[in-house]
Amino acid sequence: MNCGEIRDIIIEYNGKIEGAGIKPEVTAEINSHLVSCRKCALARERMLDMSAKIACDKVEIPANLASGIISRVIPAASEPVKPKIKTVGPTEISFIDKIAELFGVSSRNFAFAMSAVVLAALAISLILYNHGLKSGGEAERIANSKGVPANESIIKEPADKKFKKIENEPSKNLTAANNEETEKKFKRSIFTVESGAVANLTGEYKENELYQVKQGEDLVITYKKVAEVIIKTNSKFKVNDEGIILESGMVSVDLKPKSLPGFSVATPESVVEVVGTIFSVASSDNKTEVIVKKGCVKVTDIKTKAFSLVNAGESKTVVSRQAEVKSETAPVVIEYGSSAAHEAAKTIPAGAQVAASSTSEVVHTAETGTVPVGIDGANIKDVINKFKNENITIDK
Amino acid sequence: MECNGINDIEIIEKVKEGNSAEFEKIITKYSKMIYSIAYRLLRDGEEARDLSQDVFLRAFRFINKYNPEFKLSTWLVRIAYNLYKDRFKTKKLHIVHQISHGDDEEDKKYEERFIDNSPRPDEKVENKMKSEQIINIINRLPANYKMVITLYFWGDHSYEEIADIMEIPVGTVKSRLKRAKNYLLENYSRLLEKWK
Repeated sequence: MNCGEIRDIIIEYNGKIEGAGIKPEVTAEINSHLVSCRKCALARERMLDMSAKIACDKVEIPANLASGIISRVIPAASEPVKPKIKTVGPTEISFIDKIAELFGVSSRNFAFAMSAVVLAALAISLILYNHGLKSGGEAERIANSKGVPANESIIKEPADKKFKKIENEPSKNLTAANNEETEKKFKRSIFTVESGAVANLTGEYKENELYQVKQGEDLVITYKKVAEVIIKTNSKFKVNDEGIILESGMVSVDLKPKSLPGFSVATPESVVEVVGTIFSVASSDNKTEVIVKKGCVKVTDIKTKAFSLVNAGESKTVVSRQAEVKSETAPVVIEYGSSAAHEAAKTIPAGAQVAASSTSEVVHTAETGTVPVGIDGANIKDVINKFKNENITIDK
Repeated sequence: MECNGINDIEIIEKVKEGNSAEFEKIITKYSKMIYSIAYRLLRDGEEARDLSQDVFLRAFRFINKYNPEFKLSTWLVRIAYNLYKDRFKTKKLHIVHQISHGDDEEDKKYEERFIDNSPRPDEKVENKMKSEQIINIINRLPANYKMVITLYFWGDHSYEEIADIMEIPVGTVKSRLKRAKNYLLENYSRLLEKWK
């Protein structure tokens, strides 16, 4: 046995080795150890001493303790304790009991069933209410897709209802909403560079400084646990108040829906706003193509400011020079990083802004080559704010 | 479970039936035990008396919730422990020192807080001072460790009873006890070294 084991036994038995029910051979071993080890012997001596002193601690009981407590407790609790036996007579049958009897169930089960019905009704009401709000949003979307402003939507009623509250209390509600939004943005934690590195970074990321991801490495940045931004090898990018500006290359963003609302990624030709979507954007030779895998994105042409919504399974090509916006159905979803995406990237005209609403992928092709960019569901402004306003820790 | 020849359960049944005077017997029987524990936890006579009173008041009010599977004393001590924890949280009666191992800096700070640096006392009063310092060390234990130590050294409770009182597994009782005793020994040793 070593000192640690001996010490454990000393502590467990308060130093009383003999007569503590320890096996004789173990006791002998301990005793022989104590003879040779001064430290353990001292520990035992002190443990015995300490235990004895603790045991000697006496408490003086006040003379009138019990009577004092009785005089206080009994009057304070003078109300007679309700008898546990419950007498149920015919006169005590309540209205609920009667109804329960009609259904042939006990009153307790009936009460449970009624509670369940009420809860279910509340849940359904809530779902219907939310659906109503979404319908308002849907109306806005449809209106936008038809080039009609949201407040002149052909489905006016839900939208009007949605905005009525704000009209009634404009300053209060808007202020509260703004505060909430600000709080959301500025309370978020810093981005962390999980892996990869940029070639020319010294210290923190600086605003509008051009960085290039090192050859053969992808720069992986996480934002809490809600966002992962992958800036592919050789990509050139900047960070500023507005977010990430991808000069060339590809960014892939994966965000939890609604985690960073309004997140977007900007390229020289376009801005992609994420609202809970998976999509890809490829940009080259004055063309930008957006392919939506999931959810909905908002694509805005930077020059004309025209925007349109692109839904899941659809794609949109924006030609900047002619400021033409063409929509077409894309039956095949192009995966991020796939050859199809790269092919698509080659056909995308520059000069568009793309906005989405959740998990997304963006492929941006610069003049020097194809650069994919992925975004996943948040506000690019938030992300960029993080880069600027919060320290970015570099793990590597 | 016998109280002046009458079983605790019988008394409780009478109290449940509305005979509150019967509860006096329970107070008479267990008040000393509860006060002793309360005093050792609080180290203040008035506070201990108040806590004891609260224990019996609560026990009286919730007598219907008493589970006869446990000893009445266990139930009462459990009430005392819960009330003590509440007081500990709200009033912050004690400076809590987290038990830590190997944190010399923290231990040093702790030691400086309560160890008297005056010259070595006469041998006559040394024992008394040692006892007081040991109590001081115990007083600064976190509530759950202090309760384990109190019940173990002064309450004459088994591990199982302590586990029932504190509503924790027996293994946890043992581990807490071991850590607490180890901590006491370390600090007591340090104290003695200082006085040499």
